[in-house]
Amino acid sequence: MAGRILASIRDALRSGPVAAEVQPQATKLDGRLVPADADRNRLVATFAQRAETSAATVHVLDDAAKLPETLSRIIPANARITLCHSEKIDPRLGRSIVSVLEPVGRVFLAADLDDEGLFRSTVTVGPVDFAVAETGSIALAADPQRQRLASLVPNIHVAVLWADQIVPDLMDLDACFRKAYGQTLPGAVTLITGPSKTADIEMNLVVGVHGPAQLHLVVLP
Amino acid sequence: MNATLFVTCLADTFYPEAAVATLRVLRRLGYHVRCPDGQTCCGQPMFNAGHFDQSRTAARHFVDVFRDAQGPIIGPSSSCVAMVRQHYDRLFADDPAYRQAAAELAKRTFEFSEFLVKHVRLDPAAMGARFNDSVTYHYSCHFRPLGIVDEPISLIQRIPGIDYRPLERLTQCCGFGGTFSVNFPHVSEGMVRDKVDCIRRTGANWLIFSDAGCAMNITGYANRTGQPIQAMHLAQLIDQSLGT
Amino acid sequence: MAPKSDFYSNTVEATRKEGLAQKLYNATYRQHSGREAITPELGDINSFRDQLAEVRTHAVRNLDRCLAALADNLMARGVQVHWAKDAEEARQIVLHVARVNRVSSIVKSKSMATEEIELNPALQADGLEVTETDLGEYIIQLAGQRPGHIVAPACHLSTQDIADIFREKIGYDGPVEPTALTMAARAVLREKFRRAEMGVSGVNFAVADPGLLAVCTNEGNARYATSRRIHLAVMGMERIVADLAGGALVMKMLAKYSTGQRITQYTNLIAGPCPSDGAQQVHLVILDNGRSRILASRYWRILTCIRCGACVNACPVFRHVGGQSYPGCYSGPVGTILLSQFLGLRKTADLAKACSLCNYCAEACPTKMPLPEYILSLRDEAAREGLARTGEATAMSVWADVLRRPRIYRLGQKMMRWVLRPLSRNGWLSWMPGPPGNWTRVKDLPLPATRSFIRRWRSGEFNHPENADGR
Repeated sequence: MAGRILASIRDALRSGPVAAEVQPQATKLDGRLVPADADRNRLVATFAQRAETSAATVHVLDDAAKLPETLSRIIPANARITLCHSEKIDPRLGRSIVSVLEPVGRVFLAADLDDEGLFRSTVTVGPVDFAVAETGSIALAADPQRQRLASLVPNIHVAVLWADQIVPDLMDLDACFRKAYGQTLPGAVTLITGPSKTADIEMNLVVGVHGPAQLHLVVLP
Repeated sequence: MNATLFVTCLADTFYPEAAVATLRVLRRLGYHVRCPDGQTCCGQPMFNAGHFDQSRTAARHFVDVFRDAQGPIIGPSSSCVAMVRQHYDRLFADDPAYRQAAAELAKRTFEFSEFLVKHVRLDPAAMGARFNDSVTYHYSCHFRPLGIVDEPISLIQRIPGIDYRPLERLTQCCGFGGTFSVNFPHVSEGMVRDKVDCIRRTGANWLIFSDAGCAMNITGYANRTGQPIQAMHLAQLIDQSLGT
Repeated sequence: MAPKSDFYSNTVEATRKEGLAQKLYNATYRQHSGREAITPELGDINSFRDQLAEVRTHAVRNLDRCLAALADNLMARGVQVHWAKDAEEARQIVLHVARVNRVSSIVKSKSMATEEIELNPALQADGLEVTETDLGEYIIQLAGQRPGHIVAPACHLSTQDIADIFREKIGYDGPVEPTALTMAARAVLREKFRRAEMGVSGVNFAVADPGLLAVCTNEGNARYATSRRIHLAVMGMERIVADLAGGALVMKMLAKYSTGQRITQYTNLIAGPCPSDGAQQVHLVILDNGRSRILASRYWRILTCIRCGACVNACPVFRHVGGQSYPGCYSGPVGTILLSQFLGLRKTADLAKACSLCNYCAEACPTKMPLPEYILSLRDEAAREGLARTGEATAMSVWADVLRRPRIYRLGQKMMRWVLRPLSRNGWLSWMPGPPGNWTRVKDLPLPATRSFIRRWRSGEFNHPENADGR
């Protein structure tokens, strides 16, 4: 089947009008919108502004010590919290994220939850693989701690990231992938930009359709 | 300075005053205007309907008539000028001699407002122009392939005394489209109804147009629906405001 | 002459439908003006369009190599790659995957390719439960209707219409209000997501190297559909770029040109199975279904389309007839080209006639697709195949012959005026025989001027004594 279709394609390319048309000189792709050398402050500011216009809520903290207070503001009382990858957060944070979250709600490690448990959670907290300033996006790969599903299911997703995880532009994706994933691409990488939304009913904007209604991005220095 | 008038068949037949005004404005600007009286039509109606052979017959005649035209060739119609600049090359793809001649013509064929704004850089105020009435302007679709954006409007707005009322849905097609208006009259009607509603909402006394097809379509519908719209070509507006 | 098509009568019906034009305007205008508001962020828009055209044209010109590389890279990660020559083959592949895996329930995220191959009825006939999960698609699935627009399928329905559909089909008894309706759909669909063994999606674009399938949504439904036990993606074979840089360019432009957003809320980049947190099996169906024939035709550039819908949103004809008028799942300018190639000109010549050649689509397209040129080519082909109005070609020939004879032309002008004047009143004609009668049914036609300009010129009326030739 592959052979037949590839043969039809080759025939068409060889003998159709496409062959006769002059192929333009290949120009170097220059799609960068945020400069590669943008400084960190600018990257954070751009990231925050872009994420906010996509209806995410951004909390730029100048001090990691403010994290507990921020989380207790974001997370509703009595929340069932799914926590992903505490082992990626704790070393940089310098303390246990579980201990920060426990006063706020009931904490479950994603690795310990089955489907049922994940679906009952109301908030997911986790890190990101990288972020993109140009679009205000964060990236999460599918992995054994199920952060892909965990970030989809609850009403509130809180992503904790560090400023140095923000790359300038989508044109940096290739480099991001290499750095974050090395030689082995994960089965799925999701770029998340804001909460879930639709305008399918007479162009009225409704937030929180299938994915979270609230996306909080906490940016640590 | 020489210039040649490309009358266009619709202006010739239905709106000769638009051609008269074009002539007068060009003369006022100091041009010696010639008008080859063997000209008929650029062949656009046949081309748009897919009858390329027939269109070529008319187009060859056009090229023959204007081949030796002196100076820029100016037409009070964006669709006709677009036919020459955008489509003649395709039409004559298999006819090197006419293709060459058409390419040469295309380089110096201009729509009226683009000529005044981009080439003459007409300054209405400096020429003592004045027009004391309210107008609105409908943007011709064929400005797009000609790369004309807001030149006509900038020209209108610079006429002292004028009360320019912007048109909502300015760049939406009025629904003429040549044979489209006859093949899909119900859709054409919906489109022109939108356009006429927007024109009426401006409250302007005059509709200024750049293409005769648009004018026929818009005023024809307005007349049928009981509220006629006064319309004149941009050349007539300029002519009147210059007081020639 | 080809008989008046369903399309023609559908458009007549559409223009008579109360309120449809307003709904279509609301939907298309919002996306169209959203695009105009956000595309300046690209800076040199012209350069971006050129680059996108080049990225996509390069991929199409090297389609065999790109597809082979995509397949190799995906297979190396355990994706099962299937190739479908036509719609029937594609349907059989999907049915087979479902049967072999004992699937009983399927959730779908929006995919024009699956609508093109009419997948849902085939799956349902085999006893499978199939649920569309894009809200607009879910609504029209419940209603049993075809999409009203490539990107906003339910745009022809009002909130009241949707509430009525929900009341009838899912027992909805809440308010006639978008958020409440959406939450009701969310609850129903969440259950479907959890139960479904298989998710079927489309592919917005594939990246040959390193081998990725991009599935973009705002709602998050594709995040579910691509992470059920089995994920099967159906991809129009032309929807590919060579590398991640090209993919990034598409990402930068797709949502901006589609809905006026900077980027879709979710961009899923699928590289293979991820059993711990997603699909155990990933299948890709690469669909030809007439695309290699298009590739061999003069319309080959249409294969570089990224399905943003910008042309549909710009088209004034679409605004009055809507997506449901079209004889297929594609509509608007791109739909006219695609359907004419997929279904044949004999069945679709009318679509190309339903265009005023306003060029707005060409202006709107992120890849500078020569849509008006293609419409003209379709009309040229239709004329040659005798699909124009009866007698039109002959009339055009007669007319052309007159046009190359100025004296006869001028005589004809005089005669036309002489014949029409008795039919006129106050300079207007309200009735004309033959095809021009289609005009006068709804509009007046001005009477030709008493004397044409050229006649006045020849009479010396405009002689300029200062000129050397006296004229």
